[in-house]
Amino acid sequence: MTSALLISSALYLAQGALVTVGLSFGMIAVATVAGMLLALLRLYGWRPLGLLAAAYGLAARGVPLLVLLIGSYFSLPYLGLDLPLWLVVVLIGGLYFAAYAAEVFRAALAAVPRTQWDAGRALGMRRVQLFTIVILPQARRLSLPPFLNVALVAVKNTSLVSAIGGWELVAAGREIGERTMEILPAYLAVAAFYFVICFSISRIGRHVEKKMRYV
Amino acid sequence: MNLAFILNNAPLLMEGAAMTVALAIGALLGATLGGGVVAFLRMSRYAPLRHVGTGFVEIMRNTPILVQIFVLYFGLPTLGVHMSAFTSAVLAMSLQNSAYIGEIYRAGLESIHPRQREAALALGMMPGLALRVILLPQALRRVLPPLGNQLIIIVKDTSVASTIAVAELTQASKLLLDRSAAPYETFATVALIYLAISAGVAGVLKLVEWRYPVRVS
Repeated sequence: MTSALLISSALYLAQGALVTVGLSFGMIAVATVAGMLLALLRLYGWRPLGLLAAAYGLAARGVPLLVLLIGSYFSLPYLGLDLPLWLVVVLIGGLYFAAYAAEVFRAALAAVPRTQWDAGRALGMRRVQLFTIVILPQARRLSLPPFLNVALVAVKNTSLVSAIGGWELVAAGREIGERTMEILPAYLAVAAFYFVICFSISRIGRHVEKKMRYV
Repeated sequence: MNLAFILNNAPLLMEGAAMTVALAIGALLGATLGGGVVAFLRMSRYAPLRHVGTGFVEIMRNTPILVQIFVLYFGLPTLGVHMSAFTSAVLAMSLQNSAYIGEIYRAGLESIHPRQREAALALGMMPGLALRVILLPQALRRVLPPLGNQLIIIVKDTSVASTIAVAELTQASKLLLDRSAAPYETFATVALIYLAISAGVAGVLKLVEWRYPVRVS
């Protein structure tokens, strides 16, 4: 491989990595919002809705994401919904990981001692106020490490997008492997990109975790 | 609803489900053994072995299973190493899950109070015997719940083997999709089969946990 080819290949992979990061951000954003909603429904919501949220969580966590991605990508056009692939991935992936995020948030919210609620009530705080300024900040600290684990799984699962015809890091690696016939190095380079993304997330997470401990 | 279509193709789906279970069992066996090696390396007295263990765990946990399967199935043949799609998938999943399960073993062993080991040694046991009759039996009970969760993750990860055309459940559903225009029925059925397998595993686990509860002294 000439160095020019090596550089252009690396840049091409970096483009793929950018798409991977973008998809991950989208998925994790949807998962955070929807997961929080599910957790709130289960903890404080109207009972039937809470049970529905619990059932959703059980169902989503028992099925592989790949099946949901293939299924929705092929069925949505039949419903007359012609969404772009990236949007399908962000929505379906986001809702899938919302089930995992909901477990994390629920555990964290439930782990804040009950006495915190009592103390807030005694100080005359309203429920919403009490939740947002007393309970939530404490739960956030507790939920960070397990939430990052979910986020890492989400990042790794964006690779499945290449299996339904999308273009991201793995697809970029496949193209380079086919063009240069250096298949093993191409996929190892893809793995290295993922490693850099995931390892930095967990390192940043550890750093933030350390800082938050003293807040 | 096109139920007749699903019923006509039930044998294909069942074969797929059987292959999914076979992949999961293969990966579970590989990973329970590999996990032992990883835990041994990570807890070794010798720093170089510990570093090898840590490096392996970090690499395996920070790269997607899809890429690992592709490295084995598409990458290794360029070095003259050829494996069937099934072998590649089982090997890749065994390797990745060795990292996860190794960490589970380590956490389980480290959760046993050091005094247990000290007491065993004080009674004149050799370190190996203490590990076998004092530490492992206690650690195994604590390891069962996370091990079961990992098994459910393994079951779901077998779907990735469809990308290298292993004839498992997801691959079977893709074949049915190409043959027909019954996407909802096909995917609802496949999702339900996966759900049934996961729920079955979870149920068996509950039984095992009930039979071997964690005893806190």
